[in-house]
Amino acid sequence: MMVEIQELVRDAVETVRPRQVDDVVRTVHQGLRRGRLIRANVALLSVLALVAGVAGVSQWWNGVMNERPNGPLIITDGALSAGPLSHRAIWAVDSYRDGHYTPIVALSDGSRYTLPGELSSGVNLFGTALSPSGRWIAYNRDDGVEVRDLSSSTTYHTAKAHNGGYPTAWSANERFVLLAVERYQGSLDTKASGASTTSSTMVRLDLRTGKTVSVDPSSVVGRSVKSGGLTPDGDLLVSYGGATPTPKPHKRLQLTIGDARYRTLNPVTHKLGPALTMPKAQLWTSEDKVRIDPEHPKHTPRYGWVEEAEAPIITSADGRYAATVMSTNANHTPTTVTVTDLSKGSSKTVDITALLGHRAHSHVFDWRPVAFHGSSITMLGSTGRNAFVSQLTVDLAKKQVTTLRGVHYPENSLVAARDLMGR
Amino acid sequence: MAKLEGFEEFVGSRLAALTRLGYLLTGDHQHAEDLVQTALMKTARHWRRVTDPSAYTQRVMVRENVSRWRRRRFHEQPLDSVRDPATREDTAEEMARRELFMVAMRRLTPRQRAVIALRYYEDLSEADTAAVLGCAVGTVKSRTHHALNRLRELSPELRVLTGSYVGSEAS
Repeated sequence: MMVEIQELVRDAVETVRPRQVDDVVRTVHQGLRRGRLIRANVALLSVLALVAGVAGVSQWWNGVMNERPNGPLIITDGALSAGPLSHRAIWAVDSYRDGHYTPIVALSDGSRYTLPGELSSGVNLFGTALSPSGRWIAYNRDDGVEVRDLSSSTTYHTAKAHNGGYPTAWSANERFVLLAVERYQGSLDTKASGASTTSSTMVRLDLRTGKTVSVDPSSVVGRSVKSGGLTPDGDLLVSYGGATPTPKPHKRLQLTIGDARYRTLNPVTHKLGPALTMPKAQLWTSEDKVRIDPEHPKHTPRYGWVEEAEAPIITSADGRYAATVMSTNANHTPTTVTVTDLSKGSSKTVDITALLGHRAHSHVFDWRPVAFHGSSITMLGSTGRNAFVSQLTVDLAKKQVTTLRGVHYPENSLVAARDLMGR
Repeated sequence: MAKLEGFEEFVGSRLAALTRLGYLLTGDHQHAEDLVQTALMKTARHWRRVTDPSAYTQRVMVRENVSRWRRRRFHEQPLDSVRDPATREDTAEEMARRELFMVAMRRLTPRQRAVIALRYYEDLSEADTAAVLGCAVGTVKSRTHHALNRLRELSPELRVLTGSYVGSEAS
């Protein structure tokens, strides 16, 4: 009995008998009338509440409102302990087990909490769903992006971020989060019809005031902009152009490194800073190619360069410097950190491999910068499977390694930087 | 009602297909009817602004079904072994095959069911499916791949073939 899937599907629905059209249409009309009545009543009550001065208007912010109740996390295992948990939280990604990426907060004591939203599929590549201290986390929910305060359960919901919005960068002081948004010009109906009307928009959310600012960096810069960072002042750090990096090879050493032009961009005034040339941070991911044969599945892991994904550039806590980390390959090939003075445009590159000497963790495939305080930069070393196994802190001014230790974060974890800074 | 001009004709022409789509998405006749009713209500609300009501309604159905699944998955009785009472009398072989397939379908995730329904019942292209689901074409491909693999795992007796899909992969 060899069966085509199409035949099975059509056969399965053969017994389905729809309701009468008149009946359905009548129910729709009744529903619409009921909806109008409810809206009219709500409007009347709102006006009365406003007049009485008891309406919660103060909770409404420009562009952002707290649409969701500030309920507790959905607890899947044990009770959520009281008090700040931010510094003990890590962010784990449940990779596609239920057909989507589930945001899970895992604590160092082993307890795990599931959030009601959903992560975009590239979140583990960008690594920015969790804010540097671990206090805030961002995820998709119902065509928007929610940013939740883990220490108080406050949730910001920005309706401006349609489906596909994901966090691209946090400012070091955690005041701002940058969301890259697939914006569909017109209504969602346009999207449903398949019309190609997307534009790349970035939304900066100010967590202190709740205000959002939308900007299309590509139209401001006049060129295609690929990724963004954020300074503590809320300026975007956008990259464009430059040389195309060589895809990271699996078996042979990397030969060349690409670079890109970076500029700061004030999303409100659209003022651009000076153009800076910096090495382009690239991202690679392991792809599991599975042969389509259920009888004999064959897994062939390989590393692929994610063309559109560049590691977010990291800025220092004072916003004066930006840094990129180039981890060219494992096994004795150079890893370099380039630090650029954003106001002067001057850069310095430090060869980390030389500092590490023979202590290099050869099983590390990529180093991802997670914290930049003073002259110290902290990065996590991941295997090709995105499991963090090493933590490295380097004092760039003294050119010495201050911390190099093994860590054990599972695949696709995102780690709060404060955890690593020992606070 | 001028605001809903053409709505009744739309419902008349698409109700059967939408109900069948709903059945594939939910695996249950009653839920399918509820899903279609909810989706049509939302379509009616935005009727004047909707340019492609069919695609819009499909999209709402997929989303509503995912939301419903999220809300109720911990409380619902597993349907794996429950035969739907609305199923008509049929030959034993047809019935067994249909039941096997729907039992397997009910164990897929809502999004996996959605790609199967849209691709193989509605005959949508990968690009159109991506537009309805609001995701990338690559996501549609991978979801289809995972869904078909899962179907094969769950119903090895059916020996599901997917000529067009395997063909496109091979090429």
